[in-house]
Amino acid sequence: MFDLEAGVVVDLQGLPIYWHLPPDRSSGYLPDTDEFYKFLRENRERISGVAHSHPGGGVPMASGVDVGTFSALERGLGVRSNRAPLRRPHHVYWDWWIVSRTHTALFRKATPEFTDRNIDFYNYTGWEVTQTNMMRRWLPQLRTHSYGEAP
Amino acid sequence: MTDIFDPVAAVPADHALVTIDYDGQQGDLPDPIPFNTPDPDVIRIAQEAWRGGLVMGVPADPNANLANYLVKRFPANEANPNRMSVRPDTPFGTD
Repeated sequence: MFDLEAGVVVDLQGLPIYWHLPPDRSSGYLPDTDEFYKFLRENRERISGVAHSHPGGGVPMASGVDVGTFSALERGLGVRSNRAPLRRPHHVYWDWWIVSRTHTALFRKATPEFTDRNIDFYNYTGWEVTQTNMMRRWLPQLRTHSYGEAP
Repeated sequence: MTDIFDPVAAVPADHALVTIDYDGQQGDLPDPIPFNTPDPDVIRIAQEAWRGGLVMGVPADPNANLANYLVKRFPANEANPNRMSVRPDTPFGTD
């Protein structure tokens, strides 16, 4: 089976609550859909993060498209807003995981606020993470959606 | 006699209402804009309106930035005039 990018929305308990598998996804692109955006908007107060897969193996890096989406969604949905504080037991950031066949990396906004400076709102830091018990709730299934049989 | 607001009649046939999502809030531009306005211009108009406090129901935010946003267009039907939605774009993938 060819690699196909796939996405999953994870709630504050670490459970998968939405699988983003649009019919026109490919090995290099996971397109915007109204359904995906509507779900994120309506459930933003119970979301801890979004994971998506990249083709192949190795430690994944975020592309410019990925970081643009991280930033646009956090700005648009008020994830970091002082005016719309969200009750988050562990953190106030969304987690953005990127998964390959062999590794997982986690990206988060590296500076505390969004300002009008592009360098600020595209400033995300990523690091490799090992699979935790919480991640076992969605990571194997994300790999199955992306690579077929879990590697 | 009671006037009944008719949103379809209130918006010229070649114009559209514009709804903007930003900072966890949603609001409309105060006036319709031409339905054929190019996407970059719609986003620029929406951003300036949000910064200036012209979006109905939401406070001004001088730092509002709608980079990586898209425009969705919904043609008029019997119940609704032309509408545009300005919201975050959500693709993942290669540049």
